[in-house]
Amino acid sequence: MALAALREIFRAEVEELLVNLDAGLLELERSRESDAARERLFRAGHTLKGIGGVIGWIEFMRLTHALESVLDHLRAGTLRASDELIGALFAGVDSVQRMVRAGESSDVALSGYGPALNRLRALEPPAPDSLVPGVPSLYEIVLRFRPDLAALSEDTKLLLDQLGVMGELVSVEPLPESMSSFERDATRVPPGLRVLLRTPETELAIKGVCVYSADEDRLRIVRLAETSRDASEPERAARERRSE
Amino acid sequence: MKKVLVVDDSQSIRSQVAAALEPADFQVLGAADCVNALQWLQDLVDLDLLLLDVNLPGMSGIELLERVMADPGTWRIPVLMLTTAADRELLERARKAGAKGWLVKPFKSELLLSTAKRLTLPTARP
Repeated sequence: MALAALREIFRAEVEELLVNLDAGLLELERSRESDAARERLFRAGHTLKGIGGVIGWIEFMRLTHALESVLDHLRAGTLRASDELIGALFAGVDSVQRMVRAGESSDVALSGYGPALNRLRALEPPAPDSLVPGVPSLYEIVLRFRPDLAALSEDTKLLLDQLGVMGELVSVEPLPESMSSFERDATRVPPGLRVLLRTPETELAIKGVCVYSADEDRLRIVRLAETSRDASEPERAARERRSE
Repeated sequence: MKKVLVVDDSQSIRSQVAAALEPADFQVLGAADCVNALQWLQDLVDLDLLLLDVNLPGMSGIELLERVMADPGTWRIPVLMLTTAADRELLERARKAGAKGWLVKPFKSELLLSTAKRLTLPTARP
């Protein structure tokens, strides 16, 4: 499918979702306690966030993530439908509309984006950085391959490719207890790996690509650090854990 | 050419999947809900991969997954769930039901492509 056609489908779906959001916000203004309005708003915001990866526009993804998060809190009752909340949501919707109509390469696409994003983020309780798109965390992934996968070097290569797409592979090591047999036959895939990955993705997303290779009892994913680019401290902590 | 069926009510997502996989010689078919998906599953032979949105109108993606896994004609098809971060419990249920993994939306097209390649390897386990 040509990129232009994909963009057009994306733009049309966003516009439709924005109509739903506008209508939902007007309904919420009239009836602040309306469960139907809150649910309608959340569904539209949820879908809008979900399609954010279609064209890979990071500002679009950040803004729709913030919109969906506020709508989720509103639906759950952890935020009230105050004047400020409704105003922030309208500003967010307007900014998304401006972005998608102007396009990524336009100078006016991000007009109002920063203030709109800040207004939304100011409303919600602080979220772990790993849940905010674009803010990387360092993860340690330890997995022991299922025996029927141990010989599939191509699967391992693709797994590492997937993790590489998600972020930066800081280190990849076979598990120490498997080293001797692995060194005897360099064509064999090691039965286990320890990976340090710096990524803005969540633990749930990382788990989603790892579970094919390792059952849950053979998989451990630990978030080591938040936004620091200096990974020496968590890497040192990971080495200390290995030596225990 | 490997055949992929993507079941998602978002046309943008179905189009993203097609744009990501077709250049890599995948044939991508789409369904917006479980009714259409079940029709495709009945008609298709040699489906290599099924991508299922967890949240679908009507019958859910999990219920469809359970039906696929219970059918001798389709249980071997690898299934990848498309989901959001809010669906953690549903994902555990999907995993237990036999899904091979999941991608969290919004996802990068490159990640989808490498996942599709991985799940359709000739020696991939059933």
